[in-house]
Amino acid sequence: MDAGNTLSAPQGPVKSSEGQVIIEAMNMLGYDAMALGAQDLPLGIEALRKRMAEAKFPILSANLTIAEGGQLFASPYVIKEMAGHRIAIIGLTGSDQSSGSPPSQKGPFVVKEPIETAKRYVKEVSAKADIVILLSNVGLPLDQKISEQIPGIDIIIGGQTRSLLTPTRHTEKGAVIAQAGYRGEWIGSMQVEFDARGNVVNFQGQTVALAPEYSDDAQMREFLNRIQGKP
Amino acid sequence: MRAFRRYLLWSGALIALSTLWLAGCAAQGLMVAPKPTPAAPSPIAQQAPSPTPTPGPLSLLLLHTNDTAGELEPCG
Repeated sequence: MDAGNTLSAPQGPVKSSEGQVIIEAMNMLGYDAMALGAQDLPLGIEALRKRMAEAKFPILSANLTIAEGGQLFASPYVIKEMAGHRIAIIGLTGSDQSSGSPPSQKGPFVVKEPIETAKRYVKEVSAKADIVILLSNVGLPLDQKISEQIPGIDIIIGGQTRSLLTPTRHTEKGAVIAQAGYRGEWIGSMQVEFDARGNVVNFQGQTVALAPEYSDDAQMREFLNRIQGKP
Repeated sequence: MRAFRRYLLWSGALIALSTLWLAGCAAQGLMVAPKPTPAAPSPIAQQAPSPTPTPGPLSLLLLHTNDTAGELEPCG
């Protein structure tokens, strides 16, 4: 999973392809879902729609709307079945706003206040799924608030604040929150045990630094050489 | 011999009469094959669907990234 701020870059093949090479790499890696981040929005409506069509995984946001018309830009959530469990993954897009502030306009988009949006969708998916994961681009302080204020979320995979956070419960009964740094220098790994009713009974994890001791995957190296114009 | 010939005559006459009678019945629609009656619903089909089996415990390995923009840029 990816918690957003992934598709745009200041220069190079990511910029020139408007994030297409990132989606190609994510398809190769077998991602299951991604949340749209605040820093993905400068790509604009047309390019983002192309990226969403190319992705073999859902790109989600429950609080990103199109300014003209007010409709949601992406699917708010996806539900996946696994071993008899139904797992809901909700996407949230970040912005500079704090909780309770009015929606903020970003170009052709409006990012709606995340906590009320999360409340609404957690309630909606709780009737359809027994495990709820929030793929959140709103940043760690808001993730902690969401965990405190909204029951029913099992896991929050966060982004935007570029925090290195191994899986942690912010409050005794709150969601397990994790975040994996930035720039692909780390990958978050979390092992979670659920009981038959979908409650988290145990979890552990780490942020793994993708240091040189991990050898390159041959297929990915070939792909990187191709997009960087290397022989 | 005569008795045998008489037997043949009577048998032939009976067969001919039976054939004529059957043809007459068929013409009047009396011999239409009965329509197949719909099969009685299976007692299994009438039962309420069995409840979905309760899922067991689940062990999930989640791998995640964020804010990766720029990681594919050439170094230096």
